[in-house]
This record gives sequence, C-alpha cells and structure tokens, in this order.
Amino acid sequence: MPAKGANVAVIDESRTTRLDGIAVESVVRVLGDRHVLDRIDVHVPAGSRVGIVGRSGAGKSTLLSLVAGLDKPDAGKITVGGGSVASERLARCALMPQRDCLLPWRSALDNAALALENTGLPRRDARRLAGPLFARLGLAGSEQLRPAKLSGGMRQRVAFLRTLLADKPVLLLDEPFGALDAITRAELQQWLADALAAEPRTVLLVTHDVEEALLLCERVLVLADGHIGAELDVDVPRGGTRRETVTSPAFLALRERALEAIG
Amino acid sequence: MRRAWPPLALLAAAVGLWWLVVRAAHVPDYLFPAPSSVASSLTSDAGLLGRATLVTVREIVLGYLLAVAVALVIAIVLHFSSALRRALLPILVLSQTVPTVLLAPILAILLGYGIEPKLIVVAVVCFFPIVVNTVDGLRSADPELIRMMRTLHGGRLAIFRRVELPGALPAIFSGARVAATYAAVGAVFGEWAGSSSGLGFVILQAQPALDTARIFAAVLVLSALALCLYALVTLAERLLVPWQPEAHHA
Repeated sequence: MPAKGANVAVIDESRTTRLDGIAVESVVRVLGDRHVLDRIDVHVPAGSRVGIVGRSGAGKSTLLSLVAGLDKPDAGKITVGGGSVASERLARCALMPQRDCLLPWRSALDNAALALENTGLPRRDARRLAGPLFARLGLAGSEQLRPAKLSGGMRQRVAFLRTLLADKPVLLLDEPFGALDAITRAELQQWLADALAAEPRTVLLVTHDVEEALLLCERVLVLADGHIGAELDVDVPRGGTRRETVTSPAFLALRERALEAIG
Repeated sequence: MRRAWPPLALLAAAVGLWWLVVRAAHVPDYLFPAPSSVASSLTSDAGLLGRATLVTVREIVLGYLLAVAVALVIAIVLHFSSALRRALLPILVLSQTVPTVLLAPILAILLGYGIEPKLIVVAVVCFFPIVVNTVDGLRSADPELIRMMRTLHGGRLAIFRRVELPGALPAIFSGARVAATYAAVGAVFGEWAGSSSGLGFVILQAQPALDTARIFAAVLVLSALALCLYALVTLAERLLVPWQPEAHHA
C-alpha cells in the first residue's frame, strides 16, 4: 500500500508508477473435481497488453483472481513484479471486475476516488485528485450523480477511472465492456485504447470477444479446456480507423485462428 | 399522503361501527366506552394525560436511543468476531424467550422507582430486532464489492466503513422501525412494575376506579407516541439512505 500522498498524478507525464510484468508458470486450479486451469503458462512483459479469450466458464476469471492475489493456485507459481506471495500480488494489481461494482451510496466522483481514500487520503484531497480526470474521460458534469443515474457506458468509465486511480502497475480487466450494447462497447474500446496509450500499464484483459482482445492487446492467448489453445501475436496496422483495422486481412486471419482455437 | 387514505377510511368506519354498537346496545361506559366518552376524557383529563405523556415520552425516547446504541455496538463486535458471534448470538435469541413482564418487577426491585428500570425495559424490548437485522445486514455485503475493495488498497476497516456499513443501513433501519413499535409497550410494562407517573401509571390507577374511558384515552396517546417514533425513524432513513429507491415501507 503506498504511503499517504504517494504519487497519484494519474494520466500525467510526470508520474512514476513502475511497470511490473506478470509470470504465470504451470498453474493449476481445481474447483470441485474440475481442473479449471491445468498447467497454464502466461507471460505478460512489463508495459505490454495481453488478452485472454475463451468461452464462458473457460477459467478466465479464475485466472484473473489468481493473478490479483485474491485466490491461491493449487500448484504452480504466479509472480507479479517479482512478488509471488498473494499479498504481494494484491499490492501490485488493480482488478476491474465484470460488473462495474460502483457503490450505490457514493457519487460518481467519490466512487472514482475510492482507492485514494482507501490509502488514507482525506476525502477532500481524494476528490481534488480525481476531479480533473472526469473531463478527460468524457464524464464532465456527472461528478455528483449517483451510479443509478449514470448510463452503462458512464458507469464503466467511472469504474475504469477508479481502477486507474489505484495507481497500481498492473491492470487486470475482466470483461470490462461485457454488459454494454455493441455501439457503446465499440466506443469504449476506442476510448480504452486511447487511455492506455496515454497511460501505459501492464494489462491482462479477459474477454469472450475476440475482436476486442485483438483490438486492445499486443498478444492474445486462447484459453480452452483449462489449457492455452493458441498464442497469437497481434501485428496488424493500427494507424487507421477501427473499421480499417478490423477489416484488414491480417486482422481477419488472426480472428479466424482465435475462433478456431476457441472451438 | 395518498397512501394514508385507505387505512384512515377503514379506521373511521371501525370507529363509526363501534359507536353504533355501543349506543344501540346501551353498553355502560365502564364496560366499553363510546368513542365520544373517550374523546371527552381526552379533553377533560388533558392536564393529567399531558403530564403523564411527558414522563412516558422521556422513557420511550431515552430507552429507544439506549437500545439503538447498545444494539449497534454489539452487532459490530459480533460482526468482527465470528467466535463471539457463534457464542453470543444463540444466547441473545434465548434471552428473548424470557418474558419482559417478568423482567420489569425484578428491575424495579433492583433499581427502584426511578426512570432507570423503565429505560432498561424499553431497551430490552427494542434491542433484539436491531441487533439481528444489523448482524444480518453487515454479513450480507456483496462479496464482489469486497473483492473489488481488496484490490483497491481496501483494508478490513475501509471495507467495513465504505462497503459493509452503508450497505447494511437499510437492514438496520428495518430493525429500528420494528423496534420503534415495541418501545411504548416496553415503557408501560416498566411503569406497571413500579412507578408513580406516566401513562402506564394512569392506566393502572383508572382500572380500580372503572374509569374505562380514561384507559382508552391513555392507550390512544400511547399508540400516537409509537406512531410518531415510527415516523421519525422512517424520516431518518429517508435522510440517511437517500440512494434507496423508495417503495417498500408503509
């Protein structure tokens, strides 16, 4: 846990959050009598973005809980930034859960500032740090609204801002846009790509949406039946519009390989 | 306000029927007074009832606040210690089987005729629904919210303050509302066990005099007090739980 008033100048060129890598080595997780994860290896170099795709129930969320330090593997080793104990992983990872998990009794601003308050920062200071980011994330004017008054896309943005403000080197995103309609999802994928370009982090993204993983990540792993079914390096031209990217032959070929591996 | 009309209409119809039956059958006032006799007792005994009401209100309010404070502290302690919860919660349930009517005279012997034994009786009667609802409310926090807090620097205390306690407020208030309806009865038990003032004492004195109209008047005031306390608790809930979608409570 960072000290009071630790560096929290998120989305700021001067910030100094170090980047940690993730190493998952021969990890096994058994739930009931099912090997949800069966000797899985995943490597996420510091500062890179890796996506995991697979069907529902393929063990994607289980893997994220393990990396986050919320759960322990039955065998194997998970290291985040050199720390392999669960509490060390917990200190280095911020998890954005599938549901936005905003607290209904807090305003949008206070929800975003939650992690700052948890570090012991007074609420006034936490608000002052979170406030300026609202405009940059297209949330200006909604600071005082309770989550019930926000649209699904706005709630997701507040949840992402909250995760970012925890100022941890590793972001674990669990189906961040799973609950949104297709148009809002496409908008937020673009928005997330921009936000991560401005604010590089080590990212492990879990999704059932192959296109989303290919758009946002440099490397995509397919998880099927507790094994890594395929590893794809995403080397597609990203300069143009979203439409140009997703219709390029290289993108389509990767998409085809991923879908085949999912089975 | 619209919700108040159906029960008010039903109540008015019941009072009308009561009046008709009592008058038609020539029931004497000492057996069953007509609504008009109760109303005239309310005005002619206004001084007596007013002084008694002040005494009883003090017992109800202070006893109720004592119950809320003790219940919250105990519930929070039980929430943090599962060993204590397993040991103490069954005993608390068991303690509820001891009739308060029997507890009141013992307290009067121990503590005398002052306000203290009444406060304790009121608190004992009101305490249980608040403790049980608070413990349940604190334990029913969404586990996903707790996981989220843990990955966002949230320690045990932060999780309690920012997730469990605000999330438990609706449950705490539903316990507090149930308790509010018990408080007046508790005060009367306390006064019956030994007192020289209060609405319970007025009822006790009117009984041998066969002044049934006065008993009814005192009961009416007691009901009004319970209703006021209930309304105050509901108002406090509206202020403290503004994110709660309105609907469920009457």
